Amino acid sequence: MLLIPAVVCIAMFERDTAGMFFGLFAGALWDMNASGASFNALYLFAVGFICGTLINTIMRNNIITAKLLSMIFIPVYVIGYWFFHYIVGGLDMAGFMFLRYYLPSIAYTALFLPLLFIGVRSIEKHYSEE
Amino acid sequence: MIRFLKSTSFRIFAVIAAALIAGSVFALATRSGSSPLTSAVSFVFSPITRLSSYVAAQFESLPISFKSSSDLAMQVRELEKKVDSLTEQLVDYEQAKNKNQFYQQFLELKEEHNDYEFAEAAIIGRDSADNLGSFTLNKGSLNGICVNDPVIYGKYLVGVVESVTPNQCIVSTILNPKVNVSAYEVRTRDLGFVTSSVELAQQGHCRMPGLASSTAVTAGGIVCTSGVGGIYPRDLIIGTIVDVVDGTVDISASAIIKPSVELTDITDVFIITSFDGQSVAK
Repeated sequence: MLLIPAVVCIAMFERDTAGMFFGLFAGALWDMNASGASFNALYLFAVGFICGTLINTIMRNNIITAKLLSMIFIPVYVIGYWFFHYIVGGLDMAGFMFLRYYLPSIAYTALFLPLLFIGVRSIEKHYSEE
Repeated sequence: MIRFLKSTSFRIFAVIAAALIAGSVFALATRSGSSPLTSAVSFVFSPITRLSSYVAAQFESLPISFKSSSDLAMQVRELEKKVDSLTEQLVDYEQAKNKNQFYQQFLELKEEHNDYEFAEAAIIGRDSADNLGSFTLNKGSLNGICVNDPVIYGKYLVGVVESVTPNQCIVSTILNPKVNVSAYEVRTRDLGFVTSSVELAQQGHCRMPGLASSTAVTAGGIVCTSGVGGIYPRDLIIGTIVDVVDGTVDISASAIIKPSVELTDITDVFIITSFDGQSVAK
């Protein structure tokens, strides 16, 4: 799930077109190990495009924005995954699994965002200086 | 807004998003479980997945040692070399032993059932978002694997193929509540089906519901596949009954089953690609 903040950070620096293609690539790789017929590719593709477009138009490129965007797109993915697999799929213990597994996974994923942001920013700086 | 909708990047986004959605619809229509994009990407990148899986396995088998100082390191270098060499030998021995055991069980099964056709596969990945034990294998449709092919370890049932790409496939284990296996208890011949729930899956168990309240099934009984339905061949061992509990909504009873194979520990499995009585419409 670290791919979500990674796509957010890269799209923020590389903007919409590069961001959406990176999202598409990352999602397609994720789909190799996940069921759901290209859902991850479609989701990360949209995340890349939306983040890149927002930075192009109305948002600033800083760590606060990265946190904000990640704290929207990570929960949307996790809650969506949980909803379709547990609620729509009619599985038991949906509430328990959400609280004990999926909610902590949101927190753990978001925890690594600053590292990803700093990493992407330093790579971007390094190559833009060249 | 209209200017944004007419922009090149939005057009590219819309076209690719439409193509992805079409690919997903195609995957659902063909019941392969994987879209053309996933198939293409897995075809290109499966060697890298296998390589990373191999590297991870090698790292796991490495003995980790910390040296407090260079002097100490000098003194213990020879000993470390010996230990490393012995550890390597031990790892090789354990791997050979496991492989031998694995093939021995496979050979027994093959001798008992000449009609079975197999494909050997290794587990190369797991999805972190899925906590019901699904995993990815390094064999796909190019190796004759189809959706709903049973996956076994020796004589034991592991799960069923959920989706297939040319080089890989994703397997749902018997701990997944969406997997239902027609089954019978060996001693009493009570028929039913084996499924699971999230609660039981977390404990590594599955259950056989719908038994009569007067059932003679008891803890210690062995549950096997019955072959009904044509998805799973008859007489694969599912697990051992650990408890029989009364139903909460009706007068039936359920047998709680512990799978005979530790599903989180296995690294190699066999996929049964064909057997007598297999459903043609799988």
